[in-house]
Amino acid sequence: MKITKPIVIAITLVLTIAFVALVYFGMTRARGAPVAVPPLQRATLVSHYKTQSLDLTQDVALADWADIPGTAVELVYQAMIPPWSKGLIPAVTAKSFHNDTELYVYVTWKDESENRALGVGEFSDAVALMFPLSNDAPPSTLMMGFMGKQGVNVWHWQATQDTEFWSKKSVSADAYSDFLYPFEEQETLTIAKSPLTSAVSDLLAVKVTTTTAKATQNVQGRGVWDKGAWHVVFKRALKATNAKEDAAFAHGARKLMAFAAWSGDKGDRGGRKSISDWVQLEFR
Amino acid sequence: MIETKDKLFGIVDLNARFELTKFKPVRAVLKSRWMPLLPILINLFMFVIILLAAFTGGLSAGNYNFGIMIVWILWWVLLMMMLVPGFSRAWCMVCPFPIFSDWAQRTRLFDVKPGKLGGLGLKWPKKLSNMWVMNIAFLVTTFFSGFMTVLPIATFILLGIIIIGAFVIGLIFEKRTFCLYLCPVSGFQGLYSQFATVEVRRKDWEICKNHNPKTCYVGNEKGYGCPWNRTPFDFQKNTYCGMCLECLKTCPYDNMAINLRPPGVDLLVDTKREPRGLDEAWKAFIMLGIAIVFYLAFQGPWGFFKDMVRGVTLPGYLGYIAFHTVFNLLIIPGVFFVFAYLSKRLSGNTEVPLKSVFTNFAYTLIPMGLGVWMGFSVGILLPNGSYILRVLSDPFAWGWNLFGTAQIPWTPVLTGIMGYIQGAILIVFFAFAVGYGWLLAKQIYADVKQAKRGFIPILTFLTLITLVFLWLFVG
Amino acid sequence: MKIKNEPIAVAMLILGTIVAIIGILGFENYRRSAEYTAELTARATEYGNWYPNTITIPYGKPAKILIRNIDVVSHGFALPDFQIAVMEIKAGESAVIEFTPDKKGVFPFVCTIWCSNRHMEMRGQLVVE
Ligand code: SF4
Ligand SMILES: [Cu+2]
Repeated sequence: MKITKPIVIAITLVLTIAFVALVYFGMTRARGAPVAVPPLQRATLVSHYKTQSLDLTQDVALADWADIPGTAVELVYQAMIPPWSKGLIPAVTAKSFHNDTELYVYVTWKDESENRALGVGEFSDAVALMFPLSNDAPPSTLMMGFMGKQGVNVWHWQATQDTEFWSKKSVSADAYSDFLYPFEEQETLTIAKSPLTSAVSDLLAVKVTTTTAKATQNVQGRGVWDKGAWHVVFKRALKATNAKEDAAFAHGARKLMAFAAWSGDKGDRGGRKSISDWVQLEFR
Repeated sequence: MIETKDKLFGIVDLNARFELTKFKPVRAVLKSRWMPLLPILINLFMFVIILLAAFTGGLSAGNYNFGIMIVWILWWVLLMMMLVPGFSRAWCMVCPFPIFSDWAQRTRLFDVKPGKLGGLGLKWPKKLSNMWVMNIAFLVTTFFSGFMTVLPIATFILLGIIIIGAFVIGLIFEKRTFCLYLCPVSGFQGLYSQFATVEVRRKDWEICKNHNPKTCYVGNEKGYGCPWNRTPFDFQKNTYCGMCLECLKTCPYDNMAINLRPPGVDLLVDTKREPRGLDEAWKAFIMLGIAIVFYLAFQGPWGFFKDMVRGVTLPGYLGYIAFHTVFNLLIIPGVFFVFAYLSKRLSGNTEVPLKSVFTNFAYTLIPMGLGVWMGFSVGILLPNGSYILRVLSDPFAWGWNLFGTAQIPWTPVLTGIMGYIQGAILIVFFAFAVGYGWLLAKQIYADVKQAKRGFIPILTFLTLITLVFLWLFVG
Repeated sequence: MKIKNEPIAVAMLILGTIVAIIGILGFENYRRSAEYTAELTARATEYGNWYPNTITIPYGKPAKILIRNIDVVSHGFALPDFQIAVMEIKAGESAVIEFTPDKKGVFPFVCTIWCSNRHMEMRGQLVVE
């Protein structure tokens, strides 16, 4: 066959088109089969204004929360740092309101057993709220909340501490092991906790495993276990006492927050927990 | 072969040759038509794997990709460190890219079909029969260097363009026009192969003189006339000899030879048919400049520059392209021009045109640039060489383990003394640059006195370049 | 008889190109279906997440799952209900997990490495039936 001009042109065209098509195909499939990725969807928890304040010293006023709409927050295993939990708490339901001076957050989740005592191989049920301290915390970077310069403010409610504080009775005769929220790998013996000022530990974490109790404990809380579910209420002044350590809230503002929950009878403690993605907290 | 009385460093006889083809079995192997066809076919298979890996690798991480690792770590390093300085265009001997156009032109893969070659067989324009197109092609290719080593598909695109380009150009133009004037890999091989320690040359001019027609040029039943359009019976520079071995086959008198020789002999060649030229000078500048930019981008300390090269932001990337182009095409030649000017002033010679001072001395940058590139290649090979073992065992990152080396962790070797190895290489090549610089100076200027004075600025320039790189390498 | 070299050369060329490509792709296809119970690719959420997002394996039979990270960042694989994990699969690498599921149901698996802003969404489901 004699190679003539039209043949050369035809070959060139065919090769070029085939090559471009191949590259196009390669690029579109370069990261594997193309799939539709749903846009980021973040749960919103609305904190409505309400002229009411709750007195936690009596009990958890469950009735006061009945008609406030709740937000279901999905939890997943904390799997980034082993060991992990042996049983997932799949979700918590959160509610909130404020009265311009105080913020209330209510969290409830299903738990078959009430674990308020500590012992060898016995662990406490717990729940925690986490707020990034910086207001421009990059969205959806739960971990970065820790990594960021300012860190996060964590409100950690534990059933044992609740018992100790409200019932004024010791949960364990001996020294027991405890985990500071939330990523400690080593079991650490708790330092003398007394005198307890609250059922909720008000913590500051800047990096993973640097969680420390703040000098001023500003959060109150109380929990009750009823018919296979925990109901825990947190209470804090809307304004931050110390902007460097306390999450700041305001009427009309928005704030990111995240949840974590522990189930004592499943052996949850420390990093063995279920955690949520960011939730948008909105003050109205 | 040029006859020169000059000795490199005053001791190395530049006329010394050792003929490798004087051994019968060597010549027999080289005269077989399986050579170099067989290595080309094996190489073609390698490149099929490379292309497949680069294609399936797509946008994934480059450091576990066979395509990227073999091309940019093994191939590139081999080229710069062994093939070109040692064996001239030995790569082109076994290169698979032009096999399809050769096949189309000859209609035979193995056999020799006498008569006219197929294809349109146009002649490449005289004006472009130099390195300029390759200079630009290579420079443009380096615009994408930040992606080439990171995105497998970028390597696929580059290789694809070269292979398709070689084929199409081969259909349109005669013989190896693509290799001679277009291939991005060709230019620096041509330039630096002038330094190589191996050459293909005719032996005895008397035999060639009386041989008509000259079958090495026109071909016979044993082989094709020089596909690279050389006149094997009298060329003196490695630059455009692709070592395809046809002339060893077509010469009925076994008058073609492959020789070992002292490195760099071709630098002194400046004949009417193979003159030194600005195109090659610019190639030398570009290669030196690219080495500097690459060093800063890939082994240097500036993260922001790395980001510019990788195209993290568009303005940054455009900034890199602009800087890269200006730096290579203008700044480096500009600086060198100043030194060439000083050289002429200092020498006191008024007859030599400044242009030839500039062009001729630019050839000192061939050993210099080669040294810099070898140093740079060491800096790629030692830290990343272990990846090669991995990708050999698992070329497509599909979880294979062909040779049991797929799990080898990333193990940098000798990185502690790497800077010194690089420095040592650099100093050796600096010595060559100075040695040849001096010989060039004597060629350029009328007498030794002028040469001495005129050489001072060039020596300064070479020393400065060496010091800069010593500082970069050793820190 | 003289050996004909030309056809041999052409055959080698075809063998080294077209046959090689088809052969390699075909072999890999066969190998995967023969060797693994399921295959997963890991990508950051924005680029496709775990793919496929739900994988099904039979109850009580040894399972062998190939996990390929085709992304440019590290991911990890954790299946907490079976206490199985590969804490890190570097970009471009692959991992294989082997276990025998001893319970039926739907179990979440998650990424163990902070791989992107939407890391928390990098989840999938393993169905044992
Ligand atoms: S010039 Fe380019 S295409 Fe031609 S043989 Fe050399 S590397 Fe291959
Ligand atoms: Cu991930």
